[in-house]
Amino acid sequence: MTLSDALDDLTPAHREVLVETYFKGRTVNEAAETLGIPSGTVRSRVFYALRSMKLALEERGVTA
Amino acid sequence: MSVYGGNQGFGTGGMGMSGPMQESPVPNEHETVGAYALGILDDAEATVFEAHLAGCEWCAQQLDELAGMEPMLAALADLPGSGTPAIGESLSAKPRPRLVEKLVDEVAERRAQKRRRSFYMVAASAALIVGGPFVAVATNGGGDGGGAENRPLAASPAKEAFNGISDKITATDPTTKVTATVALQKKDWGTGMVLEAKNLKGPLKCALVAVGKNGERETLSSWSVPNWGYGIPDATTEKAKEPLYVQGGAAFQPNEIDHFEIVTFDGKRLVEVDA
Repeated sequence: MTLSDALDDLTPAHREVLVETYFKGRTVNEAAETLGIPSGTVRSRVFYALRSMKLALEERGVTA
Repeated sequence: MSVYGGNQGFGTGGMGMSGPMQESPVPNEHETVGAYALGILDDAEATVFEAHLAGCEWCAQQLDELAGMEPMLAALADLPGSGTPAIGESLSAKPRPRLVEKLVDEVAERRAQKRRRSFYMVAASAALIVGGPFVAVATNGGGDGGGAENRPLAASPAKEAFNGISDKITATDPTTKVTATVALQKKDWGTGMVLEAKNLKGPLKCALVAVGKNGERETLSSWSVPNWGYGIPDATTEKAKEPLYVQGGAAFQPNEIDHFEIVTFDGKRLVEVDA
């Protein structure tokens, strides 16, 4: 299990918000505008994306 | 101010919202902690969230758990040969080859420090104040802001607390070479404690246990040691050189404690410190 696997294992929607925010250096609001979805949705997806990644890593013995 | 957007977005996550987290949906406001942990809120939102965080134990706990994800994502983004936007696009488009074996390196660390550091520093203080047992050391964690810049972010509040307590005891185990220094403070409720541990080689899960003169054992805190370890003197990265700082508390009064032990989850004693 590597980090990139953990990212790949996310649902497309979850991966997308991480890419559009963190990896592209955009804020939640900027990404929301780009994606055309409410910023609350971006925030929510970012949260669950992080939880999923953390869980996936932990299940494989990687601790953050 | 409506920066949280009311309930918008809650339940509108589409397919992305499926999964185990659905079992315990949390109000929208709290979900902001994820974006905060990554430093992707704008300043106004971050400020509003910090106000919420200061009074929300759940968010403090979540922040504590999620803070480690940011360096990991930074390591991903800093993969050699890829600019951040480029990697972003390829990540969204298709699965990537297995490129990251080493989770955190100095590049990632530098990157993490560049990003919105002030968020974490404030967040860490807030977590320290509202975090249950951490109340024990809150008064020591607030005063010293100077010199915190170069510390690994997650370790700062405990380290500051450690430095603020003068009553310390230390020991190094001759076999494991693990060094533990325990800073103690008498409290109305018992004993407040901050541990500094060095030469802890990962991967490992361990706990700090106080053993009373009456033979009772209380676990003060537990943690896992990443592969790169803590307080490794000849390590190549700053992260691995940095000792581990953890804090906790015990119901024992200080004079009721015989000694402290760092024990692994499989029962091996790494070091014993006489109180």
